[in-house]
Amino acid sequence: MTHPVLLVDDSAAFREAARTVLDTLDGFTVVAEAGSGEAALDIIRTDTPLELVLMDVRLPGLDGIATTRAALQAQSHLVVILLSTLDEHELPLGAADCGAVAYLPKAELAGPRLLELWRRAR
Amino acid sequence: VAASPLIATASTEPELVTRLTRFIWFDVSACATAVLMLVVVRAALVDSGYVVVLAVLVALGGAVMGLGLVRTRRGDLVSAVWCVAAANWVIALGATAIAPFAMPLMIITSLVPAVLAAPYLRLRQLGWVIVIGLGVSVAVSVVGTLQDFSGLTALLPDWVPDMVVIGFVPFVAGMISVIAWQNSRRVHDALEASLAANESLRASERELRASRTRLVTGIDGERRRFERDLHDGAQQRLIAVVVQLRVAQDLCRTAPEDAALLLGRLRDEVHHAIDELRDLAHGIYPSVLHDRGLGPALDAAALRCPIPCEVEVADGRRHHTGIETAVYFCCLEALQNAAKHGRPDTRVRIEVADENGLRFTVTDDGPGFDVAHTEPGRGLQNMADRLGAFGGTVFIDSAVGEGTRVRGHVPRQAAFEG
Repeated sequence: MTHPVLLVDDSAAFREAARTVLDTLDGFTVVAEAGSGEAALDIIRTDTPLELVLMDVRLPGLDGIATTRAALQAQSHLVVILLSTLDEHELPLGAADCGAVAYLPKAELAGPRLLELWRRAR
Repeated sequence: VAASPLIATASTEPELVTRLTRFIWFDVSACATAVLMLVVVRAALVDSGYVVVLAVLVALGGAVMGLGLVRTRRGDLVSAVWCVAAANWVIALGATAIAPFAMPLMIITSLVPAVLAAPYLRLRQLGWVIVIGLGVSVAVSVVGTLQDFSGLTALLPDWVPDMVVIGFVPFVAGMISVIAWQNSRRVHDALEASLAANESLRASERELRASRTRLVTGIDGERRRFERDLHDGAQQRLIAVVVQLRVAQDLCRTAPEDAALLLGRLRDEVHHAIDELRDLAHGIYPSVLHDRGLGPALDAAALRCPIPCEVEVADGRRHHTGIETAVYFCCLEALQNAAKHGRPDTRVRIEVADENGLRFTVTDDGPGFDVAHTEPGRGLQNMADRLGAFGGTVFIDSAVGEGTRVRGHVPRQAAFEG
């Protein structure tokens, strides 16, 4: 059984990196990518089966925090992990209570770390 | 608007030279008339030597005034005014001593110099004229009241003293009024000019403040843009590389061929990041501008530009760093606008020349726009502020279908030389 993943990031280079990391993990498949919060919500609201969302915090237009809230309203079972180049104390207000299970600095994105967060969330 | 000086000099106030000349001619004519009348009085009415003395005194006064005319022609207005004042006071005192009935006329005659001198003398000298005039008028009052050694009053028919006072007092008083009105008008004009200059200064100050605010806001905006460019560009690429290097490290053990492929991709990513960082550094400040000057910096900008661009910098001399930077970024802004709004085959020509400072023109044959009906954008405001900081100006000529020409000039100023 594989867990479908949505990558939300305005940087194509980072989406590519995240996909490379997820490809090394058994049981995860990237089923969709979005370059903005609005595009991500369009995918989520079409009832695409999703379990994990890797969400960039700084997005053009609707930011990652607001997108996470809206995404969880649409599909409450989603596991959302926030990603950013910011340090944790630099995150915008609302990051802690938007419903995301964890925050992961982008530079620390790695298979084992992701698995650990996934297991803790489930 | 420049405020005119309140104190006149022959070189600054030709109108006042004319005014003084006219007044002295008028005074000299009055003296000549008085001498003529005294001759008639001597011949027809009174056989007294005092009439002759009085005529000689008035004639001497007129001669001193004539000397004032000569001084006026030579541009020495201060001496001219002192000549007129001295002549008036001597005549006033002498005439009152010989003909006390002329006292009312002579009191106001002794005060004429104080009014006349106002625009021509500095405050200290003017104070002396007023004090002396006051002293002479007091002396005239005393001399005219307490003595009549010539006995002329008794010798003349009654209508003569009456005619002197009734006929000439309003005449001299009128003259004083005219001079006073001219002086007042002059002060009023100077005040108006001063207020206008003040208002102009205030407007300049307001514009300066607004320009500084825009510059500071602009700098903050630029910083935000650079932070965003760094974050969205090179930083994301480098983080992506770090994340994937970790994967590649694992693959080296399990699937070396996949690792090699991944590492090749990552090398390209690092090159992209380097390119982005170099472009960003150019946008902050191109080192070639500092090292080699405006010509090479604009050549480099033209090479990076996606549309054809020719650069002609006639002046190879170096200028103040701030001026070179301002002109460089104005040309760059115009070039980027041409590339943004033009077709791929739009051609741009940048010309820079030393014409009493730095003059530049950026001409393109792009679509152009209606200058009169287009709100000036932030780009033009940035250009105006950058050049304005060094006393420069920028103009845009454009029309739909006829391309655009941006012209700017920063005048040479001692403060920014070297």
